[in-house]
Amino acid sequence: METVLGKLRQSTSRITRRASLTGNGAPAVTKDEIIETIDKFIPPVTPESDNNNLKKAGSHDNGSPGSESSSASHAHSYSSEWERLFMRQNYFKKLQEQGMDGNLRSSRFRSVCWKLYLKVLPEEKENWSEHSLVWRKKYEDLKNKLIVNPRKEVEGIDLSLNNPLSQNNESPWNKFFQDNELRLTIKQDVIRTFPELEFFKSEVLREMMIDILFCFSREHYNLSYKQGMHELLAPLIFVLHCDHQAFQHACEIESIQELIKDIMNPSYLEHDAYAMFCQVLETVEPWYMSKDFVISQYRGKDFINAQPFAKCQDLNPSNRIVTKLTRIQDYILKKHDSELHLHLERLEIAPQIYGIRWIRLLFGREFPMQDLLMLWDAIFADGIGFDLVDYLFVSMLLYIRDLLLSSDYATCLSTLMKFPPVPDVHYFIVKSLYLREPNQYPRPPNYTYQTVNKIPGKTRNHKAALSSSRSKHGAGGVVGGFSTFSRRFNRPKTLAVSSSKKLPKSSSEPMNLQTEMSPASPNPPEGKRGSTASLPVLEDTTLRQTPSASSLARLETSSLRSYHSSPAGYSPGAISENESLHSSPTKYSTLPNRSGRNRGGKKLTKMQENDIQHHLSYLQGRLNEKETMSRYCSSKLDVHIDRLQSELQQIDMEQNEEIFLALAGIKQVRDVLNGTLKFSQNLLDEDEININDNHYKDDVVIMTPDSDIAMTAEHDNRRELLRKRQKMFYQSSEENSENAESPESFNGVLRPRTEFELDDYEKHSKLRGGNAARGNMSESTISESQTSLSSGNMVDSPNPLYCIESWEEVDG
Amino acid sequence: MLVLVLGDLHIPHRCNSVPSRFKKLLVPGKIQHILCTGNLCTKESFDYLKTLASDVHVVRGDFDENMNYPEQKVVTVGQFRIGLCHGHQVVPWGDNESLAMVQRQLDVDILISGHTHKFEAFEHEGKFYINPGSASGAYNALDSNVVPSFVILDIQQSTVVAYVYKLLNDDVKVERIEYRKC
Repeated sequence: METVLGKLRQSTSRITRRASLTGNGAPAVTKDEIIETIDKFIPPVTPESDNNNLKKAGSHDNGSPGSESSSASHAHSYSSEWERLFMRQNYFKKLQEQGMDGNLRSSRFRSVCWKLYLKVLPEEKENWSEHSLVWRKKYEDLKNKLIVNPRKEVEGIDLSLNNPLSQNNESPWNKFFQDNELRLTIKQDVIRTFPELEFFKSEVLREMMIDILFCFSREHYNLSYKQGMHELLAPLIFVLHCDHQAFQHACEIESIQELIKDIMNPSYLEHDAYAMFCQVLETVEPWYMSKDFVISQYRGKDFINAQPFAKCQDLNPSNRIVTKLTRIQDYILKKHDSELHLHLERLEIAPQIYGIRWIRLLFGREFPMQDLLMLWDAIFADGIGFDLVDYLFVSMLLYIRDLLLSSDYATCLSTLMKFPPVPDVHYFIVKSLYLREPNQYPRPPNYTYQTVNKIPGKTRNHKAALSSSRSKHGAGGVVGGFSTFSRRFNRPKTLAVSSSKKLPKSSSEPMNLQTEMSPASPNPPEGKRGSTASLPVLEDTTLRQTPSASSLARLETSSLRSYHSSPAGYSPGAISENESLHSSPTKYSTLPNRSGRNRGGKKLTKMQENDIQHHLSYLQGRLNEKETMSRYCSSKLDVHIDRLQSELQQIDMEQNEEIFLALAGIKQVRDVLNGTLKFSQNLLDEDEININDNHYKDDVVIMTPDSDIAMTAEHDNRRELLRKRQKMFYQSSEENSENAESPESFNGVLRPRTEFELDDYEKHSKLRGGNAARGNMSESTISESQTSLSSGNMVDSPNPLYCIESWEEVDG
Repeated sequence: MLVLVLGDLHIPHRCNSVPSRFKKLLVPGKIQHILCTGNLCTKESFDYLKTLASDVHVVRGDFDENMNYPEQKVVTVGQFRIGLCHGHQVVPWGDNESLAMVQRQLDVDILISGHTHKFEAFEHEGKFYINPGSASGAYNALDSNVVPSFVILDIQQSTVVAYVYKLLNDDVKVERIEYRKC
């Protein structure tokens, strides 16, 4: 079963990937388009902050509160940026926030910020020059002490010591040779630092890096130099250098105060880099500790008591980085995405394989320099412990989760080893903050590689080739082959019969797939994961409508919804990020069919297929756009409803009922927009909440009952009313709980949504399920009214089949 | 840059090996070049030198098995042209004037010769002459009491510092001689 799913996944991912590939330049969901859509919904910069900027540009001595927009920094002089960053009350806190928000990107004082984050400089400005002096002197002394030249120390030392071949530890020559060995090792790495940047190719800079690394490793004997340290040093130097350039440029333009001159003195580049490097290594050091060192420390103690069947990498518990990585994978990742965790476990991809590099270099090899600096802004700003690294790690994994889940061992590894390009690194920061403290930070929009991917040239070809070759052996090929078999089945050809007999025997997979092909067949394997009833219908509709790409796109989403609304669905459990976990099974149930159909049935040419893909992706884009729009509308509506409701509660109005009814109606509209409430055809047929109907009047009449018939009628009416009121309450309660759970969703600020958000569905459906249960327990009337509910307008039935059908009818 | 200068090993004919005290000092990784004045005699000795540094230059002595070594050789290290010659061809053996002729012939800054099995290093008419002696302490035609010795040249820009290693009473003594090119 698992393998079938896996293969289906593979073929689907292939298709989606292809969809995104064919969309080159054509109206597909390009990144620009998404950004454009987002821009539409992001509130423009408030005029208030604009005013601030103007004011500041005019005169920068007026304190300039607020306005932390980084774009403003260009408009200012060098000194005023300094003031803006460092001269305010409580500036350090604000600086940290800026680092987190990625606002230091264009700052000319990034190095100073980093120094502050890393505690190279203290928070009090009065001590800055003193501290930097101390650090610089320390390095100078170190350099003088450690970098020995045996040729200079001619006099004084006994020749038996001071000769090139001496092997005495005291001998400067011997020291020199030992140092040279180390320097050679360092040099080997240094000359390979960021080969894509011209900056790191200069000989002077390389010498400097070697000196710094050398001094560090001599100063820290038990750590010494480890490969990877150079990649930590390089960005530090880069940032310092950039800032110094900006400083020198500013010196030509304006007069600069002494403190800045002191801090920014370019001749101390090496010294400052050393200081920062030391502070970084202070934290990172345990991650570099090698096994042998730790073992030698522990030698002699009872070290053999390891678990009998533990994996060899687990055997050494004292290896800090392994412990850390294991903790990340087994604890954080498992908590947030157990499916991915399981997948990696099953493939036996230990986090050490790729993670050591990620962590030791602080993701230095995974991102281009500018992105990396931004990431480091956040890591450093977060605190000297670099606690954020763990969560960044997980958010990076989550970003490529779709890719990983649909890949086999080799592809997984190559993806992990060569992290795909990322359009927006800041997403990782937001995401990891959320992962760490879900209560304090808003949930970022979901954003995975597959949906926004643009694989650059070579890798794309490689991957396409990979996936196509995979699909030949995998599900795609089998499905295609089978559909032809089943088509030819009418003609009694022996070959067809025998092969169709043979294949199911040889492996159980094709059998399942074949049953999936026929609409009337028993449930495909996915049925067990989701709602059983919906899938055959899905198949049915797919088969009917395959040639039209638009229906496919719609179907995909509608089926997704049904999937989420079904309480019997795959238990979401502790997983919060299972957007595509849920999306995958349904996708697979539709897409492979299509490919099978295409091959077996109409035999569409490649061109046509491409055309359809084209169209599909375009429509998908449109759909997403509409989705975002309706979401926006619903959230706006929500804000207003809230406002109305609170007002209404204060003034106890006479005709409360009616207003609440109206409110409930609006809420329903909101829910339809939001997607939590299914939009069924019945909604079109009748106006579900008739505010002007006679329920209310009847309710008054109830006071004087006449006959039995009237009684029952009134009873019915009353029940109806009750139901509606109930609905109303029940929604407000939903709202409340929602408010509690996600502060983001209703605070009026719409976050940029780049894509179809499924967690929200999930959340809603969960909530709804919970509420329904609560209702069932509390009042029996609900259960009564629920029947009418489901037959009526509120489609809340556990059977998603129903929704899909109606959805289809409406749209088709 | 360190250059090892040695010669007249005569292994295995007159001596069984380089003294162990010397062997201990001579470790790979420090020396960049080896200049050998010849009379290694066997290939094994040459191979031993190869283990110390990859760049070995040898000239032919009168007892060398390998006839392919050149009689004389000029090696440029840094700013210095260094001439290499075994010295049995230069008569009288080890004579200053005769060696100066060879130096002029080769047009070198430093002339290295051997054959006398006696360490010598001197400046003559602004040029530097080195005789590293015999590294194994093998006897010579005229003298059976030979002190094993070799020389390390530390060449920096226009200065050469020669470290002379001698084995006296089972004890390594080091001397230091500086030569500046003018």
